[in-house]
Amino acid sequence: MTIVYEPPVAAPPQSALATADASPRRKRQWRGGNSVLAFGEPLVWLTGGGLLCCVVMIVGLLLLVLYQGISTFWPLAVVQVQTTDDHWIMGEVSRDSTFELNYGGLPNLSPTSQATARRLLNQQFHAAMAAWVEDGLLGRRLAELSEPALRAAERAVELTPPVRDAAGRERSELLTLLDRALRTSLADGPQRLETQVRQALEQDTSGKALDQLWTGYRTQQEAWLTLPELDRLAARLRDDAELAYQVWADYALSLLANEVAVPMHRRLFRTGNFELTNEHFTWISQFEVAAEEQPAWAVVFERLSWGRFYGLPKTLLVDGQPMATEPAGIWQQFERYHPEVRARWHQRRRLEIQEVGEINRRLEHERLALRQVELQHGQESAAWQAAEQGFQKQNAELEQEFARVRAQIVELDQTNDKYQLLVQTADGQEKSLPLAEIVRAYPANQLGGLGRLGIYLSRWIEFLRDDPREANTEGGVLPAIWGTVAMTLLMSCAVVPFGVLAALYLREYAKAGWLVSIVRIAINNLAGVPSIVFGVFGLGFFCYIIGASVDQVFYSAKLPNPTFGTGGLFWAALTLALLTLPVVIVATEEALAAVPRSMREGSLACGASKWQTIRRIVLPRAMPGIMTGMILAMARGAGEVAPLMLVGAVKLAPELPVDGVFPYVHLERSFMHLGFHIYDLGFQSQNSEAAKPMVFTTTLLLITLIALLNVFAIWLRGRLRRRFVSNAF
Amino acid sequence: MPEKLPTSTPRPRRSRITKRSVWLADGVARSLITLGGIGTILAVSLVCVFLVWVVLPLFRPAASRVASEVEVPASDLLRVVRAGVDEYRSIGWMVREDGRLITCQIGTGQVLQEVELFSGRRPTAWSFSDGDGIEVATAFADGTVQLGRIVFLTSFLDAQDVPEEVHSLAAGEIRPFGDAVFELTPEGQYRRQQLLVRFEDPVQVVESEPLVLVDQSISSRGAIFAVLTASGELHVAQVTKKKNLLTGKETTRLREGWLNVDLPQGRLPQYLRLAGLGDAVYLVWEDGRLVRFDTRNIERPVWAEELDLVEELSERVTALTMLVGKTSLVCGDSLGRVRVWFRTKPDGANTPDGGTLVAAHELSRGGAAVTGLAASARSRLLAVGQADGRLRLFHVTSDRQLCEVSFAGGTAELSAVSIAPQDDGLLGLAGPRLAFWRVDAPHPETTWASVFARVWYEGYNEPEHAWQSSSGTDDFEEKYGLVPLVFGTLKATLYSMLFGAPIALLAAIYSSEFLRPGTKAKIKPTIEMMASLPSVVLGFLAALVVAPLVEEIVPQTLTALFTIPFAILLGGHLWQLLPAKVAVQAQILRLGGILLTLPVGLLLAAWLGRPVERWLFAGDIKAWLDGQIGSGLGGWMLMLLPVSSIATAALVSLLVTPRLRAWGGHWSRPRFALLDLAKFLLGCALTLGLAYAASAALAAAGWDPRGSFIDTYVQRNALVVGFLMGFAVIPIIYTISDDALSAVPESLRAGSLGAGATPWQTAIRVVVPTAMSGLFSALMIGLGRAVGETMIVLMAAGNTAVMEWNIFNGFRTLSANIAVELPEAVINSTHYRMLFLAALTLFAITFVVNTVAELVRLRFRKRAFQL
Repeated sequence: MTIVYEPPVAAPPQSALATADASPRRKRQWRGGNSVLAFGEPLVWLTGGGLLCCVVMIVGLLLLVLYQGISTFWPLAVVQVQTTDDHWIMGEVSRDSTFELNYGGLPNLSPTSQATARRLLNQQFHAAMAAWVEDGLLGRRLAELSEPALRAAERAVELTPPVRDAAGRERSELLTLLDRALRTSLADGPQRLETQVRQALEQDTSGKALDQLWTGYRTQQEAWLTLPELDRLAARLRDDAELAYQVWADYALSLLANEVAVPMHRRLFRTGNFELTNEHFTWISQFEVAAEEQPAWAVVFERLSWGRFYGLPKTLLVDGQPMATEPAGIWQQFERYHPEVRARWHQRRRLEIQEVGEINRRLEHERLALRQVELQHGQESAAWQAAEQGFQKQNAELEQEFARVRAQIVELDQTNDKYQLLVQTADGQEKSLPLAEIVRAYPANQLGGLGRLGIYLSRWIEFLRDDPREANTEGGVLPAIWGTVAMTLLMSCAVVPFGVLAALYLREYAKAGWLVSIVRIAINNLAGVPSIVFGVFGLGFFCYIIGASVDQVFYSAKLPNPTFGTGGLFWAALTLALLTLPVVIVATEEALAAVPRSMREGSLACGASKWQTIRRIVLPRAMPGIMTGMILAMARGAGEVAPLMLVGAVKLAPELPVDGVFPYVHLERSFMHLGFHIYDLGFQSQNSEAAKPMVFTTTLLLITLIALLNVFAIWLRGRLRRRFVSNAF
Repeated sequence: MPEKLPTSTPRPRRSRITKRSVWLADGVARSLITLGGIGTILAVSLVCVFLVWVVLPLFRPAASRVASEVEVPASDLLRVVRAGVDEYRSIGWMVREDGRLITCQIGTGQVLQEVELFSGRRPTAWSFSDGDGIEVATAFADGTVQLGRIVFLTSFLDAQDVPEEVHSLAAGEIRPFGDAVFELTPEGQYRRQQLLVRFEDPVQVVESEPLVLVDQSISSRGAIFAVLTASGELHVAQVTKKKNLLTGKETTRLREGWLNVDLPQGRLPQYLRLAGLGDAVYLVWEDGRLVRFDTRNIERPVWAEELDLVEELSERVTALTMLVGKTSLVCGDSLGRVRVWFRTKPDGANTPDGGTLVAAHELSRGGAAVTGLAASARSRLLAVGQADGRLRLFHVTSDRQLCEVSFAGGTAELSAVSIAPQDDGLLGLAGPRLAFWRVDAPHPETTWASVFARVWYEGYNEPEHAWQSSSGTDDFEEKYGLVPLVFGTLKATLYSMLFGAPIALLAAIYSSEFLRPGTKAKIKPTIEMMASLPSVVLGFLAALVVAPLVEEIVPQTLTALFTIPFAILLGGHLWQLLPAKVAVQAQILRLGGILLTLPVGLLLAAWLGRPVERWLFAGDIKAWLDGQIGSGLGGWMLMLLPVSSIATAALVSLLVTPRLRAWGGHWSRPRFALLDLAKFLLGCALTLGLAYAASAALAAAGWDPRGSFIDTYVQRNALVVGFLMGFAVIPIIYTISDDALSAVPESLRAGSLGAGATPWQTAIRVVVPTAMSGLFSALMIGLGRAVGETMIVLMAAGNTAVMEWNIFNGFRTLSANIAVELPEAVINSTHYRMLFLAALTLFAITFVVNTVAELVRLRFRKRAFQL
């Protein structure tokens, strides 16, 4: 056997130096300096830096998700702010940031805030200019600016309507003209502007004079830019060196002003009250705040629709009669009535979902039965006539039943409608909130630590237990949890037996040869095939071909509405099973290979058949490995979203895939999925700011789920290895 | 079994014959496992087979067969101005130039109906266009124009609803009754087709002057028509109808304009065509002269351009039509050529509307003169009839001939051709004969060339790669070029590998060579956990957290790419200053020291960000990237800095280090370390200086890097995707490389260390070269994952199919494209199959990459065993 060896490997640098010496071998001396290079410490640090980058990134990411996910539901104090333009805003501070206020940001502000901001900026502008003038820097900076200013002026001309429409030759002629005009007038430009700036600085210290100087040039330039006729523009450019100077001076001043920025603190208020203000969130900069307080009785209302409401309770009305008019009393009454109203609301909802749903289901069932008869016997046949009569009778009964339930619902609604809460918003508008609409309300600034904890926990419980509301941005994710779990379990049921079969075949039965090696390589490769490809396959093969055939045979009455012919739980599970099959096969094969040969031989030597050996000796030993493979597959399957988008995951599923109605597991239904929920909230939501906290909590949930599965797999792997180590010796 | 041991009863004699049940179980298990195993493997391979099976029909050639060829009695088919066929391919209709409409049965030639359209008045010009039915415009010698419509109204009736006379119909038989035609369909229903012809009142365009040419277009602005009078006046008019709400009376209002056409030698043009939007009128003379008028302002038409459709002097234009949407002009000539012209808007065109006509496609060349042209009403199909009786079907955009048919009766001159409304048949008239061919061409627009090469789409200035699968208008042509998507995929892969691969490889080297086992047991699973993070989480973080953050701190981010390695290397150099003894003792703290350098690097970036922006990017990097301000210097710096740092490193290690070693090798360790630090700092300065000098030179030469790898900033861009997708591929590359490095036999390491090499020398000269193929396969597998990653690019890449390398712009990858479009694609449509082709491409790319990786890995494993 030859050892393949690269020559430099055997020759460390010291020896190279030693042989360079022609003299008889000297005693090797310790050369400290060389050791520095040989240890390559900086490069080792670079590799270590790579490792730590990975670790820091993953830990940072997990901490971010953890922090955001955990802190989201904590109830915050409600702050009321009076702005300088006399608006009142009430809400929770959802985040804050610092930004650099500069002249460019002014047009986005309201007139009053604009004045405040301009004053602040002018002061800063003045200070910066004064410093530059004093240091003698201004002249140099202005000289630096003349080159870009030229280009900017060119651009300004290009954007002028007549020039923009002009043909190529005229335009270039114009630009040449402008260039010449600017160059001649700019000879003393910087000097002249510095004098002007100096004068403006001396006039007043608030920066107002400086601002005026600049604004003057700006208006000049704007007037010039709107000149309608091309030839007039050209003529003015040719003659008017002063104009060219003004264009340049405006640009120079705005470039200088661009470097002026006031660091400013701003906060994003969650203001709610969407039906009144048309927005959920508002940014408030610190300089806009005139007064700020935390009103004692500011109440946060979480509602069934329109998102949150922030306001001060004014009156509690029962049946039109005011029951209480001062906050503490109102709150007491509210706490008394709210539970019973909500109980009625829940009862109403149960009626709606269960009883009305049951009636609809029966109606649909009858209709389908009739349609089936029609398909079998034709529309005019005797059988159809009979079935049709039965259908009409049933129909009438169900209509009656429906009317009865409807009446109950209406009654409950009417009772609930009596309870209204009159609320006043920060800017004095009044709004009446039906108690039934309020999911949760709390006087945020009255709560102690324990009270907050209570709200926090109740929100988590709602999150884990309830259906989503408000286009998934509020409420819970129970359907998504159900969907994820059901799909993952179904997937494992499909993937494990087949994966194990395939691995057993490859490892125990197939004759080892080039064919098996190729199959093995192919399976390894499939693990790297993009998941979306499996999704494409699932949609095309399972849904459109197999599903459509199933519909033709078993659900013809429902056509053209597809039953299995579209994305659903079953097809999603099968698609993911196919996707995770390589994982299971590879893991199982490794587990099988890890069973020592001696044990197999021992068993066979005792006279056991091959299957007996596999069943009694090999499989039990390999079981932990197989389990690891399964759990890894589940972890991968649970986190995979791309194929699900094609084969059945939806934004909002009206019915759970698993419920109390026969046959309990509805394989054909589309379902919600935590991963898809994240995609939908984060990417397709209308109100992405409001959806953000929800995305983080959902992410936390999903990551926790997957981390648990992974940790379990790693633990199992560890146990398995220990077992083998002890068995081997 | 164990419980039997303690019993003291005499042991039963052991049976030496294997029980039948054992045999049975063994056999059953064997066959079941074999069957199941092979079945599973086959099922998995089904994925690939199925994709191919769906994709193949895209490239199948079109099939055609003669459905019927009959003689239509009692009609002069040579004078037919337009022929057609109904949606169900059973009834043919033709309009003769004398104003007579004849319908006949396709299969037998039996005449079903004959209608006099204008009760004896003879039109002087006709125009037909596809709209809601067939829109007809006719012009008369008295200067009037009549607009109208021919429609087949179809209804399905049950047996009890049809009149007695048609009850006796056999399946497939057609019988006229009353004003309609009945046919018994194979499903047992009666199909009633009623021919509706409605003409509106004549519109007087000019007083008592004959009109010689007419054309009309129905656009969103209403009906627009153009006519030419015998004296060469071109009139363009827009018809608006107003209904009086009180009286219910409809009033027609004309908004018109006209101009005098310059007639060479008094010859009138042969053809007049009005563009679909009514914004251009084309006049074509028989000798090929074409004049285009700009009618964007209908009241003031102006001359736009003039060109020659046929270069050869003696040749003539023999047929002219327009494709669906009436934007492309198709011209057939006496040489048998068919060329497609449309308006492009090249820079510097000197026409009033900035457009010029170009011959974008040449479909056929040679053969007999073109005598009939017909465009499909729904696609870019074109039927070409020739004087020798050949009828050919082309797809214009893909320049592809789909099929060729000809009359059985020999070489008769085709007088009129037509494409069936569903694009599934061809109708040809020659002399008294009428022939109908069934055509099966479900995907005429796709060829290998149209998918992977540049295609000249209507209205484009030049052939381009494009993917655009949907639009608001009906006559929009889908563009299925996969190249932009493949490009996007490669771009995503490139940038994520640029970020992820170095980090992962460095990390693997450190963790396999320098990390203590205890620490490694903690760190490795942590990084492996990254692999199981759902990519949707990374995608959402990319889109909602990282993209907005990076947008705010672009200069800082770019600076950090350089300051972090700088800080780490600086840390290493400072560490060297420690005396040897201390350094050995402090080895445990090294990782902590490295950890400390990361925030230093970040702080350095935060601190330097603004000044760098001011220095290189004129104070505002986004405006700079837009190309508004500043020179190309900053961009060159950005791109040349890595190059110059590599050059400097090479220079230093080749020239400076050996000298340094000879000169100061005998110095004490700290003293030499100081020298090394100085060398490092000088090297950094040299790097900067080199990059600056080169950038300044390039910028001074007038080259600007903007427009290549850096350009306008978009919030969702390749930089962000590179970060997060790098994040996704790091764990895979790391794990596999670490395994490969750890698999290098311990004996090699021991030998190297024993020979006096330092751990670093051992790592870089012994371990890494030995594990090289393993590292390579790790990179390939990481590449495979990056290629197929869907959610991150879907959420963070912006999904516009642009083809530019700009790191600050988005892209659209194959995978994201599939995820976005497949749910809406109609099953078995071209779009659907194209998306499957996209999936197949993805499959093929990853399969090839993974196979290469696997083969390399196997080779590596073999080699590692040999060592």
